[in-house]
Amino acid sequence: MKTHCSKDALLTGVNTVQKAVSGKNVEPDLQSIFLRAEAGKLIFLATDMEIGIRCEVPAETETEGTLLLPAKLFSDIVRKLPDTQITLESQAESANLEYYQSQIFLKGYDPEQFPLLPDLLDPVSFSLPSESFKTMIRETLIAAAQEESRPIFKGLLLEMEGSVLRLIATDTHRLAYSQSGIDNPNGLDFSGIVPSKTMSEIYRLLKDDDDSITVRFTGSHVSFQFGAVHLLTRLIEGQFPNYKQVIPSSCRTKIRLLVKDLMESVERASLLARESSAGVSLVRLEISGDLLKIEHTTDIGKISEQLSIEKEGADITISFNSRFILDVLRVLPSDQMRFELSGPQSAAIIRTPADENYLYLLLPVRTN
Amino acid sequence: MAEQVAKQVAERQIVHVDMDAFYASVEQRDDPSLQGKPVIVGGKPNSRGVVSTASYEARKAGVHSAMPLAEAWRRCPQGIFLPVNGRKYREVSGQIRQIFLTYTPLVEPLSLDEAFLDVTASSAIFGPAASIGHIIKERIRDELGLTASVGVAGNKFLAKLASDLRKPDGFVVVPAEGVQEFLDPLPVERIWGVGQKTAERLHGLNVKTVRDLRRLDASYLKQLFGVLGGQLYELARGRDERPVENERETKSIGRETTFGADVGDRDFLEGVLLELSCDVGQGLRREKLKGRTITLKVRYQDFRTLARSCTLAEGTNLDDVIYRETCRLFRAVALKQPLRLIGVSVHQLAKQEEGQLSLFADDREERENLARVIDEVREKYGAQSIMRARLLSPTGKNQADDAPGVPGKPRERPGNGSERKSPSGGSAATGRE
Repeated sequence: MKTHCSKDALLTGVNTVQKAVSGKNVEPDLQSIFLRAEAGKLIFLATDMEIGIRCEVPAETETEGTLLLPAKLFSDIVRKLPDTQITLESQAESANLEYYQSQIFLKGYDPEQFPLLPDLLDPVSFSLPSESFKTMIRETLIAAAQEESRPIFKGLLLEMEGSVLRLIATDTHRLAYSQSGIDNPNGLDFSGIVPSKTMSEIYRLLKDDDDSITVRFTGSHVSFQFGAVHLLTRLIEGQFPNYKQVIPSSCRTKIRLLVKDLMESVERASLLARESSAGVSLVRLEISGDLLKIEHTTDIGKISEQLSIEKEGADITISFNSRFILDVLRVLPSDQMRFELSGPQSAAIIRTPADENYLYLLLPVRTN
Repeated sequence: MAEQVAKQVAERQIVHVDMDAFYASVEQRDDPSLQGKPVIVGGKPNSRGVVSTASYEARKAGVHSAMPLAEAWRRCPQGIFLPVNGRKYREVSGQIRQIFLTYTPLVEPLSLDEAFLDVTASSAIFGPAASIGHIIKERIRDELGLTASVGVAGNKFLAKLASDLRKPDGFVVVPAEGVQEFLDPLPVERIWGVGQKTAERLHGLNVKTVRDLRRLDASYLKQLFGVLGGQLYELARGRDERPVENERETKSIGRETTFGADVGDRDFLEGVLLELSCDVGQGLRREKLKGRTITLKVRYQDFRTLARSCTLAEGTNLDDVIYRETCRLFRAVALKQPLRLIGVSVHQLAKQEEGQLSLFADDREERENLARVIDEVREKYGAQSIMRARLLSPTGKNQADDAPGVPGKPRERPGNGSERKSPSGGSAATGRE
């Protein structure tokens, strides 16, 4: 193969696919990036068999063909290339990069070795504005489990039902739920657990100027296409628990306050709680009258914060893992928030005052 | 600042109390027929555990702690071999601790049989440190019928060296002005942190004693040994600022077993893991702790040792969960060679009460209640009163009296990453990975 393209285009290619490159525990020829030159474009492809990313960049191709190059080295080289037109040519299994009067020769592998991404047979698909999908990911990804023995909690439930698309994530201590209306004239239904790694990759790769994202799915895989990127991922097997059941429909105490106020108070309080056991910092909220108080004494010091709130319902004192509160406050898209509570050992809900499309449920910490 | 520290160090008064052949002495005290006889605590001579403690009579025959029992048997066939009675030693250790606590709240136990005491502030009430040390030694003898070796000095390093100097039944005081005189003739191996490797390198530099070591300057030592070099420089001058820490948090709870004969049978090993997991779970519940990180340790026939860990989203102290995770880790371990040792430990501990509530885990509370009730039954009616059916079958440890499968000494390790060497302590710490 022989093709010409800009350094920028090469850089876009390697940056886009890098997260799909296999880790160190596989054969070297799988820790690689697959390249295919076609008329007018150069295609980048990487996969670790869980997730595969394909990206096209513009190129002037003289001869079509393929290459399989060591991902890390090739990416490092591309990053250091001068900002100019690059000629990429294959010589047997190796690559020759030319720019100005210079050239780099890089040994590659047999492209036939590379596992191709499976084609989705009879996929079902729908499209939605990429901006709203990006928001949904941002609002829910925070609740997905990082370390958890049950794999289903390391993914986000993607659910389409009628004209509603939902993303739900939970690590069993909190649950984030986000929904959005979509056009679904054919009345398709779908439900699958997408690895959170895939979701954070989509979030990273979605650009503001990608106007829509097309989602295709079968029983075992789902793919996302936006701009020049095509990302395919395996779904996590298993049954996502019945999340609807755990979302309370009423509450005993409802308060309204400024997101910024609560966030800053909890951040300060968690500084003083850092020494507590196993890295969990607790924050105790005392809601009484028109005030929310955070009072906290540890070996290293003491904090006492008071915030003005609007309250309906009973007074309550409740403790949370402060990280679980901060995570949601950082993604909440409004200045004000609603906090709904039903007792010191019951689930609480945080939402924006107006929007019914999002909620974040969190469970308290039982203290003695 | 440096002067301030130096002053502080000079003023501190530290007592190190080290029980003489503790386990063996307790056994001899409680059974007069054992007095004057070579007693070896550790297990049956035909099993493959190691000696925990040998009485001084047995030491004369060349038996010492950490020696394989079979070797001890060869050297001392007339020896009286006893199993490790952990519960009894813990009880006696608690009584000794009560004596310590009458003189100072600053007690740092290193193991069941030795502890540091900071008596700096106690002198105003109880008199000079040396006399506190002496009273403690006498009370241990009079009230508990056991002998201890006691060292009194201005820091932990010197106090420990002092208690070891005239063992058994020793009593050594290192006065502030006599530190260098005390240290200089000692071989470098006696310095805290100098193991075999470091000693060999020092010998290569013709450094045999602390006096020799003092001739090397700080920068050269740091160049040779890094951080340890700086430490050696200070210790050679009798300087050690480590405080006596009275409440050392439990950092991990673990149990391990050395097999009578190397075992390669996965089913059998899983049975052993179940038993160890239950022990660890019970240990956690007794301390009212939960742990998030679970570690499996295996040692192959050729002594190669592996540790594999996983971290849970939330802490547990349930036998089932510990066992399930341990088994998962175990499945990823190749059994190309049989194992001589297997162990389970739990780290990243937190207080049980701080319970983060969960969704989709409704049965957890019930399981915790069940575990608590079972613990209570066993506490009241003995460990055999209620047990898992699977553990009724011979997996080894239950038949501890018949090899194979005498358990290695179960240990609760402080495991804070810098295990202190305690050359005189009875238990031979197994190496970390």
